[in-house]
Amino acid sequence: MRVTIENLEFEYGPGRFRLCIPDLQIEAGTRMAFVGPSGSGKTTLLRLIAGIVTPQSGTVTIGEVPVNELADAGRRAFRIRHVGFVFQDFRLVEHLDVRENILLPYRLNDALPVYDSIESQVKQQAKRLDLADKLDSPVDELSQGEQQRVAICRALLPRPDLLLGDEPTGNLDPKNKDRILDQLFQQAESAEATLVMVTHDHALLDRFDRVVDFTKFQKQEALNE
Amino acid sequence: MNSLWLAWLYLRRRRVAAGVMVAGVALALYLPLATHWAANAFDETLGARAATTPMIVGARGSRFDLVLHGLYFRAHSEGTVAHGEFTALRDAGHGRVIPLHVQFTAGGQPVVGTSLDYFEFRELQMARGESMMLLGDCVLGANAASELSLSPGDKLKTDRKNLFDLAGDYPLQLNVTGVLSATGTADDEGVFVDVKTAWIIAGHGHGHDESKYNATNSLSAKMVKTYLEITPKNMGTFHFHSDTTALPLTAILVEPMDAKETAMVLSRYQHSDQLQALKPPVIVNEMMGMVMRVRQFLDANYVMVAGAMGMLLSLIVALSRRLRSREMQTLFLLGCSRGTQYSLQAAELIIIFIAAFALALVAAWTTVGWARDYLNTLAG
Repeated sequence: MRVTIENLEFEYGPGRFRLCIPDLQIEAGTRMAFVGPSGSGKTTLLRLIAGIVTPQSGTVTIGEVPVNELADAGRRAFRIRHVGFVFQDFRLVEHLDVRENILLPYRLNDALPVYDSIESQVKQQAKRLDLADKLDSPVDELSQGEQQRVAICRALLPRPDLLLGDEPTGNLDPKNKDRILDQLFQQAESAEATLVMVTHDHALLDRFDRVVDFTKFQKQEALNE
Repeated sequence: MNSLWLAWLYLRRRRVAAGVMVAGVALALYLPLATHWAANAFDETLGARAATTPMIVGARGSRFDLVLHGLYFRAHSEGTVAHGEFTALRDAGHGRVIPLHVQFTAGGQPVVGTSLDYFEFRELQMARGESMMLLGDCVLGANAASELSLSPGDKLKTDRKNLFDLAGDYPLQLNVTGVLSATGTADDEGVFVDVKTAWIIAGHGHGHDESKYNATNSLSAKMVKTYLEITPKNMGTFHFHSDTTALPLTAILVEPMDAKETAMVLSRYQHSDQLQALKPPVIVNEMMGMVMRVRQFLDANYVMVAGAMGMLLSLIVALSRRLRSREMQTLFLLGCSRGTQYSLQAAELIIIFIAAFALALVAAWTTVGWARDYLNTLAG
């Protein structure tokens, strides 16, 4: 799914952090990395693309849909159906076990499409991410790396058209980092999904089609250069 | 359905907190439920027993005590009525007249001195054995038999009223001749004996043991002894030194033939300083009126308790929303609407209330069962 950002301006409040992006195109199927120092707006841009927050001006268009112009319910419905998000802090629900955390988007939204048997999908996805024997474990008993894999598993399960990752490999050891990245790329490719990922790991940048350095953005230059 | 499932998973993980909330709500529901049911059971049981007991005659004093004594064999210490009054009532032909002498216990159960008319009056059936025929025979109510583990042919000793009174009454060993079918009333608790047997227990009559006769005893030609057991051998020696018309009864049950006879019995005692005639249904209604007034007072308190519980629950829900704000934010990020978030919390409350209501129902039901049993053991 193609993502187009035009004349986007966003600020959390008067005098606080401000993000301005004149123009950014992310072609369908692209694997793009956002890099830059902390506080440069990488996560904010992911949240703007996902429709979690809306800009003060400008547009975020995903496919043919101007997401920021949709009402709350419309944005939420669009996000559920088309966007997978791996959050930096995992956003797992601690009183649920691994299986229920992965299934949570389905429990909360009847509109999500169910492929085959959802249970077998969960098992397959968990097996790919080496979580098969952890499905019944409480998430607060897992290591950081395992929790991150659960969050990735949850984001991948609905086969989103657009996969957003906020440092999804940040808490993983090198071996798992490569494996998870392989999974993300493979999943994105098989679903012809666009992958946008924030990372601080410059060793990974070669694997992406495009890299957007947010240091440039701080100078408010167009990001399509 | 998903909301209920997720709510259940949340409560299952927070089982201690959920358990405390369930217990708190259950207690708030249990108190009014149990009070209402117990009062209704009290009303039904007491009312039914009173309805089948048209009139009681006894010593003047507390009306409630006398009625509870006549219905539930509860100890009545206001005074006695002479057996002569019983015969006078019977001879006056007002209707069926039944003597009651309830002063002692056997194995903790009330010993009810009466006549065979009582069984007919209460429509009591023998489950095992046969009715009491001789002095010293007794028939047990169903619960009394099971609690004392006694059957026809067994012996049962009466309880001493005062262990330290050596000159007082001695226990009498009773012969169990029969066990009554269960009725679910106070009759199930009784040890029924003939009124003459009751008088012997009270020490108004006694027998002499001829075998203890000792001709060489210079002090006494016949050794007099209070017997502990009435046997076929010594039964003939039992006698009462005073006129039986003067011997005491604790109450007289009267079943007048009609309204006119009822009025005549009432008028007979209207101006008596010593005795009173009471209609148990009227007295029980009066008692229930007092119970209902207490219940109204309690109801008002329960409304306040429910209000306090409601406010406390609201506070808990509000605090819970604050404590779970990150969780709610996560649900929002995963596409959960505000409505779904509220439905999740509502589902948690629904589960808590259902569990609490079920717990309160079981507890109240158990309490009422216990209250019914307790009502039948008012004797004492």
